[in-house]
Amino acid sequence: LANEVVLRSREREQALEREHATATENARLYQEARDALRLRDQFLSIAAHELKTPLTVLLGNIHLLQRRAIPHEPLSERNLRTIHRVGMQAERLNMLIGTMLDLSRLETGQFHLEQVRLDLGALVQRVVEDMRPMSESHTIVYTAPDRPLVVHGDVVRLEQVLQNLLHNAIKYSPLGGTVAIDLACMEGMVRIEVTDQGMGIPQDVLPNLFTRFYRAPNVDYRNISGMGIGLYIVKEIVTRHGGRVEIQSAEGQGSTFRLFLPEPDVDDLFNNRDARAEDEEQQQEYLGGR
Amino acid sequence: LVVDDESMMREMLAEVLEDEGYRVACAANGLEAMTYLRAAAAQPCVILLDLMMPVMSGWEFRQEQQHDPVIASIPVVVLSAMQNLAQEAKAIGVTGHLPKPIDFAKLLDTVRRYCAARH
Repeated sequence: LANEVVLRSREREQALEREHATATENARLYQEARDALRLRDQFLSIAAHELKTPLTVLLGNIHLLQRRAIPHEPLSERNLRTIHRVGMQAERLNMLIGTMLDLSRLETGQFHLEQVRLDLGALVQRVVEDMRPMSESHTIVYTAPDRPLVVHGDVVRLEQVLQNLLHNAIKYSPLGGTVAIDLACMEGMVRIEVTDQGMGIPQDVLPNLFTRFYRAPNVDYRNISGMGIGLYIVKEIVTRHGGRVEIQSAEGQGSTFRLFLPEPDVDDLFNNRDARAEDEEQQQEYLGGR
Repeated sequence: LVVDDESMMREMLAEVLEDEGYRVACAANGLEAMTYLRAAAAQPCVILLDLMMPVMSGWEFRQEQQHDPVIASIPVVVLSAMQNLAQEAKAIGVTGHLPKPIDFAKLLDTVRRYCAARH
């Protein structure tokens, strides 16, 4: 009996040692994985920063060429088109770098909002007007109530959300058509609805659409490029504003994206008036943004 | 005064401003900027300052500038591709900041605020 007890104790001891070794190994692997992720995010951030310097010089020189061409010796139509193409692609690179940086900020907890009181209607109208010249084959229709739609939000980030949804609506309607953007108020929320008549999204994948790097399966067949990050960032921005995003779509039948952002209630507006004024002054003072 | 360690960035910024009729001086880092400012007969109406520079960075330049009463009041606008630029700009108490890549309409608006009269 004594031998059996000793034997069992030894077996248990060995089992515990094995468990301990496994736990230690798991902890080491976990730490390695965390370090690798941190390094990846650091690399992404540094790479994006380094890419911005040559991009600034490139964009600056395009600006110079465009400014100089008009008053003195007008450039030929062909040369103007060439400069335009260089400019558009440099802007595209800029957007891609911005997206990479946003992803890195979200991963490292450095994604901050600078919220002020703003009229969402005016913001949407400005974004729509800026985008019209970029989409000759599409008609953008904008409808909104005839009064200010006030929210407490980050101007630059909400602009980014709207640009993303409108870009997508245009990009995934390759044959052209109407892109409608409609604003409304309902149950204490401001609703922005963006509808296109494009290729749509299969219903069974709709829940995955806001996941990082996810792209709908019907996209690849048509060779439309993208990183699968835009909608993830849209959802993060809207959620951090206390809002939500919904989508309604079916393959071949277009898509409708709905954003809901909370309207500040009257008490909140009154109580935060001083803080808001301070925010607005600060925005004025600190030109630019990010 | 444009302070940036990238020579092509300095040249480009100088040309953008010169095309608008401004007179522009350039420095490759904070130390060159300090040397220029201490020797200059007339002070610039605004300093466009990069942050990450060798020899003397933008942060070090601000410390030196704030301790020198002759040049402390010259407005400084930071131009940088750094993340969290707004916080960085606030921390060193500058007048404004513009992220790189620069929005040139905003840059010219900003310069116009401090340099109303063209030279």
